[in-house]
Amino acid sequence: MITLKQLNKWYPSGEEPLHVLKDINLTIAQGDYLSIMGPSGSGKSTLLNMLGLLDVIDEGEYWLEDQPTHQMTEEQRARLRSQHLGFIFQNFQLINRLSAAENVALPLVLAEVPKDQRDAMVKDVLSKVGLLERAHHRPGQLSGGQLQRVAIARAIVTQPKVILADEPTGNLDQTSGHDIIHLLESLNQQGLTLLVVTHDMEMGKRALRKVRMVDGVLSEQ
Amino acid sequence: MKTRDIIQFNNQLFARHRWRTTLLMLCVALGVSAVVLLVSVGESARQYVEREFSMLGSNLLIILPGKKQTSGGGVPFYGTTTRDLTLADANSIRQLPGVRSVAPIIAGTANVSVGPRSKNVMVIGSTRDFLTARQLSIAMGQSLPIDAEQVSRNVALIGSELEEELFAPNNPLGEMLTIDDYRYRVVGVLAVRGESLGLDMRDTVILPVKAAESLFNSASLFRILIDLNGLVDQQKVIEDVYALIKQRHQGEEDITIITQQSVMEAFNNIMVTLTAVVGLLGAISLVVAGILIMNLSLISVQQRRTEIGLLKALGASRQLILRLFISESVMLVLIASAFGLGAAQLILSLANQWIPVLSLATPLWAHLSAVGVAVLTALVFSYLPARQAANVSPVEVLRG
Repeated sequence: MITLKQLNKWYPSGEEPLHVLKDINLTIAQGDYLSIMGPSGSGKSTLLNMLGLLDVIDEGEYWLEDQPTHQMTEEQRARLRSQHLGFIFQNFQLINRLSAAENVALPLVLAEVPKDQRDAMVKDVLSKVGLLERAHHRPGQLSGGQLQRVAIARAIVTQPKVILADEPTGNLDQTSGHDIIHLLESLNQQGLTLLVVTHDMEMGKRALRKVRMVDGVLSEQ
Repeated sequence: MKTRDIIQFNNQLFARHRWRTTLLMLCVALGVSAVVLLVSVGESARQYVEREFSMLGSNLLIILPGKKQTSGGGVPFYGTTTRDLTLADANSIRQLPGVRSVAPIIAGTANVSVGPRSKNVMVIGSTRDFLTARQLSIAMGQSLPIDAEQVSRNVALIGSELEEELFAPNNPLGEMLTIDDYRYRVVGVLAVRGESLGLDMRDTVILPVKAAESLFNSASLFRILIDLNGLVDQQKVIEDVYALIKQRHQGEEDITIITQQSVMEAFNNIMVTLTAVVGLLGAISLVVAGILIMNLSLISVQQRRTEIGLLKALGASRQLILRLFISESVMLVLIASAFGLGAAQLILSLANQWIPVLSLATPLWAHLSAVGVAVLTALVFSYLPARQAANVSPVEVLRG
């Protein structure tokens, strides 16, 4: 499903570019649950951005669903992103002026899904994350755990094949964190591929596959 | 993203930033109103002049003493020639085929007095045909005598305002008025009719042309108005008049003939240019509004960088972000334009109610161009902020 071959990434930094990802090779199958752990600044988030097609590869290959994303234009990558990938961020990244339902509907709006169909899909995912009764609440009226549930609903509403989560429990208390881990795992059990960058040892350990990044080098544990 | 969703998305933004949106809309609405109002004032002035000229009739020729040179410049107000136009010239023109009537005009300003009341006014010496050509009618009394060209009778017609100022509350008919040292009996009062081509007929005295000759001690005519028969070839008559006067003035073609059409066209050109200039002044306020749009849009891009990054992460293309930001400005301008047009119409109808003589009206092109300029301004001035937004990197702004 996902294949990275000899992936390299540099960031400009003074005279000498910073080599942040070094010869990354990784294969991820449909339904995998992979945690990426490692110290701060090791390149975990950069790797997740590459996998999420948010950043461009400087060297190497990235195949997603047998498609060579490393040869695609920005517009093509945007289309692929909306079709196959769902994102969960540490600080939720919800739009404050929109209700929970409108936030969840956003990827469907961008994908031009008809309104009737959209409403049904939003209702379905909000009930899956247990927030149907909060559909019309704005982010300011929800707790941290509820906000992350809305973000998860938004990530899965387009029925993507892969969910990329960057520190999904990082801003939550322990109880809310556990709830979110369970929710994500249940989604994985339903066939979703789950790629999680985390510092949370418990979440890292629970993943089916664990990889570790140190100084831009990836090693499977 | 479908158009309906873009509209809804932008509406939510407007609702969120009510003050910013209201102020921007106010700016644009003022600009649109200014363009529409200024253009309608210019256009109404043009139509007024056109109406005035059309009242003269399309078969009217005006002869001025002196030759207008082809090197440019306007029609001379006073002739510059050694040979005057005289009543004899007017008489001979009357004999030409195609000429229905001829009104010789002597004009000057003089002090008119009745007892202790006096006023400096325009005094015109002419015949009954002048009244016909200028569409003047008698409200009270009678017109000039038929033999105004032959006999110097000391009778006068006066305008309505002059009647009020010199005779009120008495009936002026049969009363005497004095112009310089001459005394004239008032035989008629002109019907109220405001200004006509810049000459306030309410404040004018009209004498038989022969009497005006004596008053101004000059046989020189200021103008000759020629009214042509309906189906006559105007150009042929003009050539005949030139030939006749050349023959009468020892081979010198020392007159200028202007047609009602040519004067109207000249005025029309001036008024159209003036309207365009004042419209342009109004459009400047729209450009100022455009700069404000750009300024606030740039701030908005800075404030919404995370949102833009998120939209990109969720699959929005660069083109869509560009479209979102430009559509936001265009939508705002369209709504504001609707308010601006409405406000302008309200002001115009109130002005027309209070001062009906203005008869202000806005041509459709003024509405369209005001909105067009506003939309163009929005497109131009929102492009730079929109491009900045489209270039936002999701990686940079979504970093936790």
